[in-house]
Amino acid sequence: MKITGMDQARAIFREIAPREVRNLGRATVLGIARRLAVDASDRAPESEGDLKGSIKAKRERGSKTVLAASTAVSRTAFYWRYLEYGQGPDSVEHAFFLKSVKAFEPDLERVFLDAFGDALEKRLLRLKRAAA
Amino acid sequence: MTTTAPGTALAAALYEALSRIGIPVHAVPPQLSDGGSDAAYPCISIGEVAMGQWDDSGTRGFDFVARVHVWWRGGSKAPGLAIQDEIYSVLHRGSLTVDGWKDILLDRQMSDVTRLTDGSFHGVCEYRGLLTEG
Repeated sequence: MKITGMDQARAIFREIAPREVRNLGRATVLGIARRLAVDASDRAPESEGDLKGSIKAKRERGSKTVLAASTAVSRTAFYWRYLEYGQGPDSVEHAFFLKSVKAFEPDLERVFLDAFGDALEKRLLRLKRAAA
Repeated sequence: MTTTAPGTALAAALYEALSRIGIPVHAVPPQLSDGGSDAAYPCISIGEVAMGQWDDSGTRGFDFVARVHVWWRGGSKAPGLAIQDEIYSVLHRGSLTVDGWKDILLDRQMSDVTRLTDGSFHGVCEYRGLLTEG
């Protein structure tokens, strides 16, 4: 599903029940973290063990007013920070997380709308299946 | 109107500002042919500078994060932390002279120190800045 602007996203949020807003919001935030994980993984060095497959998004607890998700590296690739900052055996500062974050920032509205569109589409599909 | 991204001019401005601290500043610390470091310690190197677009309808701009590395040897973190303090006093809320661009923000975002396996220390700081044409 393609959402073309923030106004359309706000209108959808306004028109649906608060519980759905929260679920959709959580799925959207997780979707953004997943996109960042995929981008960082694409930029991570190829030859470094489990690193590429270890960059993952995960839901965070958040609070009543904050929806949260994170992009993190699992423990098997604990050495990620050495590669990120140039302390690895190749002495190259790969900066894959820094580059990903800077690439996302100017485009964050589009990333949000894409993730929101995906979350809404999945939710509608689930409701349709449940009603059938 | 500026026709290129400010990468080179920004690196020159960072180099000029960091040189005021009085210890060697490198783009990449020099290495010996066997891969060991030939840098005089302590030293500073300017690392990755990640640029994001920050244009508005009429003016081009860049939102960047610049990494500044500090390398030192010794028995404690103290000498490097002192250098990171000096970098902070030069860059944080400071001003860069970037040819063809105006700097309108320069802020420290993080600092970190790691001990390396060869006994040396490596400090990393990230500074975020905003540049606009002019």
